[in-house]
Amino acid sequence: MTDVMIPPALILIAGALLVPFLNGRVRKIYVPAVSLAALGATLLLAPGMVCNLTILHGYTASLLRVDTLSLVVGYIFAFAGLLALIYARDEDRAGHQVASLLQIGSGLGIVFAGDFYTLFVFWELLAVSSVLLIWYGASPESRNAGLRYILLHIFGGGCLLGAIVITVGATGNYLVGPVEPGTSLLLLLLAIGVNAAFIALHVWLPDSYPRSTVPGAVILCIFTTKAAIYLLARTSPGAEGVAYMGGLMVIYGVVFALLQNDVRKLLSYHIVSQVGYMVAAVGIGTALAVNGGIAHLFNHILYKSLLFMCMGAVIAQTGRSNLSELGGLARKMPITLVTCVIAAAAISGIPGFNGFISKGMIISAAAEAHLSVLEIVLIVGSVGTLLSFAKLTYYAFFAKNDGIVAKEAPLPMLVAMVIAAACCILYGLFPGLLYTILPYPVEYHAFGLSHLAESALVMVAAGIILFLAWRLFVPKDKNVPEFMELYRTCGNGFVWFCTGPLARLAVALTSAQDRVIEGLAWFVKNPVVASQILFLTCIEPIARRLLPRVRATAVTKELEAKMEAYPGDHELIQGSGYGLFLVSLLLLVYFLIVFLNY
Amino acid sequence: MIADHLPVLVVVLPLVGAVATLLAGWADRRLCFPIAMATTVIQFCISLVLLSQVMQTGPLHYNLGNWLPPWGIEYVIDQLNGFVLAVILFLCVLSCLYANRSILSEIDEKKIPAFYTVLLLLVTGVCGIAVTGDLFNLYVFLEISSLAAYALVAIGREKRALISSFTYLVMGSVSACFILLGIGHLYIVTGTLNMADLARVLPPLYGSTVVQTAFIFFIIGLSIKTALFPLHLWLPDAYRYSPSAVTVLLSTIVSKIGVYALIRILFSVFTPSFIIIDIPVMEVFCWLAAAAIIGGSVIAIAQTDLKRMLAYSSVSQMGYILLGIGIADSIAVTGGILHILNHAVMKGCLFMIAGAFIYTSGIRSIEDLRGIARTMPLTAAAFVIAAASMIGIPPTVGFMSKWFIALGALESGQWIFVLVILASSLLTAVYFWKVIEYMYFREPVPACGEAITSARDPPAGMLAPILVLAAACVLFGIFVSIPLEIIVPFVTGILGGT
Repeated sequence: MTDVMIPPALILIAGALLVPFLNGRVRKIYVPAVSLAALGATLLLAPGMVCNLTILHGYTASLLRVDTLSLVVGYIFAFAGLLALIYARDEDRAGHQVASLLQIGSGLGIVFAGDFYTLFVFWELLAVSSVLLIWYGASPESRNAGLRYILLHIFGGGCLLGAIVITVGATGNYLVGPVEPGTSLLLLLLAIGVNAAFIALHVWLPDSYPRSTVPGAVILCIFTTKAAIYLLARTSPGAEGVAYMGGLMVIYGVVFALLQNDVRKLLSYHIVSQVGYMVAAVGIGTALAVNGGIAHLFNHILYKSLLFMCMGAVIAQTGRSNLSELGGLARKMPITLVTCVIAAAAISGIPGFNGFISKGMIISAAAEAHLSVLEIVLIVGSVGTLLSFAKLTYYAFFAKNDGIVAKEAPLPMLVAMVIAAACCILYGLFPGLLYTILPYPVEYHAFGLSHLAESALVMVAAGIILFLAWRLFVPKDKNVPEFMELYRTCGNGFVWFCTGPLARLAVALTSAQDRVIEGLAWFVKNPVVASQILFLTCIEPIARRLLPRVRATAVTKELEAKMEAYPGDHELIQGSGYGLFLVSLLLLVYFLIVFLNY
Repeated sequence: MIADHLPVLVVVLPLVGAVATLLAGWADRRLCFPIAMATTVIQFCISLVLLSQVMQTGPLHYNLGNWLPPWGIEYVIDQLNGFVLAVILFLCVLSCLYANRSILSEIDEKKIPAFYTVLLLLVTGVCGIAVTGDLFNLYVFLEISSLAAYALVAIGREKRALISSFTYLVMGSVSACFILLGIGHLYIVTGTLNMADLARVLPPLYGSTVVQTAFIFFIIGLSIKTALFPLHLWLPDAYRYSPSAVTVLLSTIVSKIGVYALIRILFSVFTPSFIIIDIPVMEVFCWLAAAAIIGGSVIAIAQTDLKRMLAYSSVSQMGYILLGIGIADSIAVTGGILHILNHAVMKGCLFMIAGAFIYTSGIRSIEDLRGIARTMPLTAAAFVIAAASMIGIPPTVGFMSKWFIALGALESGQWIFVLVILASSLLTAVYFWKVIEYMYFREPVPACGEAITSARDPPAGMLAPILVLAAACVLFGIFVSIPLEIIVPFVTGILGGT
């Protein structure tokens, strides 16, 4: 059965294009309404639906291809997008709203894209709209971070296009599907690596998200990384190297998150860490693992956007974003506190919250696949997560800080936060709701004894560490060295090399070249006389030694006379003599060539 | 009845015209120009008729005195020489028109009848080369045209014209010697002088050293005639010291007919397979042509005299034609033959402009041309168009032929020649831009101030050919399909392919 449906992405993009023509008050209703329409369209989709658009002769863009995998990701994208837009209701700059809608639209576009070219277009649109959201942060840092973001994502987009072209060239099939190992897979992994924040390619994420606008960060944290996870699950599930990269991301993200002071930077590193769980899951590649990865994607979007919402509310209300400057907000922003604690519990994998039900699946999948190192890494990551959220919650809400003035966040923000928090608890208590929509059938018991014990172990370990080494977690305002520093040093070094040594070399080459050209110009003014002068210059010293004085002075005089008269502008070229010589020479050359050949 | 004899009429007419001019000149010098003009115009019309006949019915054969070839002399007109004939006579008409006023300032009045007589003899020789299908006949006409050319170079007022004419004569005679030797060698082994006949008899003899030697003699002789670097030494002086109208003739007609003879001998007497595969000479020939392209341009940059600069530019441009032919790829040869037309049009225009500067202001040096665009706007504008074409800026003619030659070089895998063409385009831009900068953007130097301010665009008789050629530079560039329709069938005929 194939039904034709309107792709939700088109609803959002068309809606975005209309935004500039509406006035501010209408837009406040209009923007969430568009998103709601898109959510409705997404909910109406059923596996097998298509929307094909013949663009060129021989190429049909497949804007909609629905199956269980795309459907579950599509649901959460559309839903989280709606929540984020409700949250962003007070951000009424038209450009920001356009970028937000485009962001959600391109995210949904990627998820439902049936062919690679459509996917690429939405992939690039996602990057463009992200940059807009970062730039709306409107500080010099956000401008620079946006530029760096573009640089990396252009690289990633280029890799993706290369992978697509190679795949299509090799197989002739441009539908999104598994990619054969080889150059195309490598390029594809690079492209996904940029978007999914593989370590060493992740630098854009903690660099740019904290510098975006408050609602912008909420929207940004939903799509880019998760779209990459979706593409990874779609094209190349089950690569062991990728799984270990996921493990590395988990640890790396957590360690750096623990070191951060800026709340949104802390959250950004947690994106790296949490996406690491998903990358590991997709890398393991078994049905359980992919289910776990996708479930984690689903849950992660809920609690991570909730965390960004809470911290965004804190920043919006206090104007401060460093943990060392925050504190004492528990009384002033109680709802924010409650939702934040729920989200923290969810991300830390505490039973009863939604993070628990999916993280457990991934760890079990790692155990089933006998990847014990990975399993341990994932559990250790959970400990780190718990620690860093203990730190976040404590220093944001409970630490002593009398100087801070704030009141509870405005209603639209609270509405979005409460809904998201409710979902976190809902799915945490009733995992079956989520399990039924996962791509593969689930035979997993979220509240199994071993899993609960595991969770308890994590909490105990975190408690012990906190008790023993709480000093380590006091937020400090210090710069943690990161890959970005390395890249910037390399970049600056390259610029120095260009402006310093290379420029000097260029000057030297130019002057040498000038000298050659001058010499050549001198020579061609009268090649015949010039050759004579050169010849005389060469033999003059010899003549002075060997020849009698009279003849030697004659040579010298001739040379001087010729140099004096040079170039002898209107002097005739005495062609015939030289001409005959050259004719004979050329004849000789031709004869040699022809007759030596036989 | 007359229509059957058109191939011979195109040669006989100027010969008769030459005698008529001489006789009329005794009576009244003013009669010379109309006679010469009428002769060339009629010839041009004949050439157009011949060309259209060739295009419709294929090659025309005319047996002189009804002696059947290979014993008698045969005139053959196919697409190539029909095209070359039309181009040459077109330039003849314009040069003749241009000469009427321009020679007044450059040669003595009593030499005017002699000038037109020799001019028509030159045309006789050139047309003879173009139509003949007989190798020895070709040599005879080559000598006629060469002797006439020596005389025309010497006709100027300057003493140095005599010396440069002498140099030209020596080199030209050496060249003629080699060509005659080549013909002799071929005659020894084949016993025939008819080109078509030779083409039939020669292939089995390609291994013979005599034939190979003959080929080398032809290449050397025609290299001198076409001033292929480094045998170009006669050219700059000859072009520089001859009257402007003669320079135009030399650069457009005499040099082009040399190229024509070369193509004829390479592709109609010998076969492409011989020159490409059997004998590795063409590789050297191509490298010399590439050296000519670069060397001519480099030396042109250093020149201070406009006509001499244009002369070295000719060396470079002839290099393009010879490179296109030497690559012997069908596209490159098409470009080479197209460049015969293009270079004749462009360089004719430029030399006419140089002559116009001399005529109106007496200025020869590039540096003295400062600010002349203000007083001679049309001439300067025509110069810019022709210069753009020399550089190869689309949509001018120069672009199209360079494009084809470069394409042909790529096609045959010799990408280094593409670099040569690109580099030379840059160099060409350098030396032409220098002139344009002086003409448009500099204040006149005090010494020449009066000459510049009192200069005017030349009289209509000189200006008209300049403007026609400048327009042709653009028109042939846009409607390049017209000459290509004539050239491509010929090239396809000899080389195959498209």
